[in-house]
Amino acid sequence: MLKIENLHVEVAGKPILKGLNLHLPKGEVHAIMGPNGAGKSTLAYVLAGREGYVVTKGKVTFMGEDLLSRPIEERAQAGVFLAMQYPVAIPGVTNLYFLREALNAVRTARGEERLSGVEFMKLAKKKAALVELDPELLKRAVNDGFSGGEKKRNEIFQMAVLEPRLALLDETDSGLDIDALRVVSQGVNTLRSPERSILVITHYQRLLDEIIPDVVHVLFDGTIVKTGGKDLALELESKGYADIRTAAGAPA
Amino acid sequence: MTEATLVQLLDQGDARRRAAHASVLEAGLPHAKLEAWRSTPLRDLPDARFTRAASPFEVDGESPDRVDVSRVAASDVAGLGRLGELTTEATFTALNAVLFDEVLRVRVPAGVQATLPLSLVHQASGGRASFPRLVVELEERSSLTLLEHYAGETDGASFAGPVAEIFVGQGARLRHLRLLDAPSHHVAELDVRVARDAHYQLHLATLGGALSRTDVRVTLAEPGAECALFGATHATASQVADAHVWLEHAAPHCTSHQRFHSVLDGRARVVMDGIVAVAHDAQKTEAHQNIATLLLSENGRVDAKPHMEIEADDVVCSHGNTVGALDEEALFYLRARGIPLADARTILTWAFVKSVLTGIPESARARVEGAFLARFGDTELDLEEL
Repeated sequence: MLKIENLHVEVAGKPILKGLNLHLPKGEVHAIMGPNGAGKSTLAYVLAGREGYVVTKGKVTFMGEDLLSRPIEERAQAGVFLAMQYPVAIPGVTNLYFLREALNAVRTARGEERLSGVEFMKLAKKKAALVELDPELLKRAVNDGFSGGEKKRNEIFQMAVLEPRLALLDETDSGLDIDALRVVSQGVNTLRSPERSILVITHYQRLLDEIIPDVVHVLFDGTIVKTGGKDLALELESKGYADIRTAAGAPA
Repeated sequence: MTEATLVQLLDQGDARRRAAHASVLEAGLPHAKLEAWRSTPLRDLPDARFTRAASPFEVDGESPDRVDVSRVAASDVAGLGRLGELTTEATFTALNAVLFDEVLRVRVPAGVQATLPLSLVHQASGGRASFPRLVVELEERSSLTLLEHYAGETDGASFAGPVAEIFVGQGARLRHLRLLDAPSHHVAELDVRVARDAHYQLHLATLGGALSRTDVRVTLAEPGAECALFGATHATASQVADAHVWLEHAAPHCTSHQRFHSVLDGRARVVMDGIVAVAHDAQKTEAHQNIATLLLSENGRVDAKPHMEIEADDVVCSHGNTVGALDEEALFYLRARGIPLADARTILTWAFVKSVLTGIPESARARVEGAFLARFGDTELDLEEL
């Protein structure tokens, strides 16, 4: 599904990712853990195509095709979805309207018919229930005045509607209390499928108690320094990142 | 009728009225050295030649029950109202005063709540200069929705110089929408007086014109008077779109809200100049003024000046003025969900405009929104549902 080879990325002239390799097969859930500043969010943004993230070396293939040369919207239309750490508010554009245009853009790209307002409404209500998103929030402007938890639910709700092939969850657990974390995680778990790959990016292990990964990678200073099973997350939780720092030759 | 420049046309006006304004008009049309016209280029308007056109408003559809709508010939108009008192900066108003041929007079008797809107249309046509004049009086406790549409053909330069005087009587309510989408030149004066506990709401939707300028003067004359002024402008190519607002809080316990949003594309120029004056004894005034300009191109020019002159000391006043491009973060968010860049720009631009169109009279919504949406070109987006 996703293959990242020797990826080097700079932000404002500063190297952030320094030769990152990662292979995420179809149907698997991988987690990327790492301390602040390791490059986790940079990886998420560069995959989504955000401007200002300059790839200086390496390549990324998605479903066998080059991903990095495609504009942001084409990546989304091809099935890449980034659940953002800090979803932006868009005053004046309702959640329903926004998502209907998004779904219709994706459908148009796939050669499918646009959905009518009525058809979309039915779908949206069903998916909102999945993440226990208050249906009233559908009528409000996108993320405008939403609480931290509501924003994150809204991200997973959008993912449920758009049904991506590859979902990137960037610190989806940040700012969530335990109950909200469970609801969001359950939403993600219902979207697990043999046809869909998920990359969970997180600082903490607690999200991985709810969304059990097939593989855990540790990202440190711009590269993957360790890869293991789900127990690797527990190990990191008890020992912290100190061992990783030492092994990477950095001061603990 | 012979062709003449706007100033030469004065010779065709009523001799008595012409004399009254001779001194004002000696100076010719306004120019950039006058403060109020500093940012408004008239370009070739002073030299353009027009024939004087009859300037009636058409009443579109039925006029509401119990509302008097009458046409008064210029020769039967005794005085020229407050707009007869001219300054050199209001030359276009003086032109109208000399050259209008009839007044459309609208009177809503005391206590009458007009349910149907009154819809007026003025058509500009190529080569013609017209000077429509409108007087609207709402007697106490009456209410009216007034729609004005300044339209026109694209068959050559035209000029419309409308002057409107509006009196909102004690406890009365007027909802006023003015849509400008005539293609050529439009310089308008709108003068509103709001009495005790009365309410005036204006939506000024500006799309049209090589040059359009609307001077809005609102006086909150007595305690409890309120007004809400909304402006939505979309200017493109080499258009000049100008709104000057003078809002006077002349009495205590009055409230005003202003919100003007402009979108600027191509090499267009937008002027939004708003003065709020709070008189010395206008205590307990609440006045809010907000101007925002969205720049879609780097070649546009905006002159936006919110300005407050406050002489009272017990007031709540605020003003804001922002100019900027589309929010990059929001564009990224929309694109990251699959919406193509051009559509994402359209959605955000329309949301910006639409936020000042809320509260627009329902009967005019489709016409006004349609006029703006036509600017966005062909798109599959269901923008009317945003």
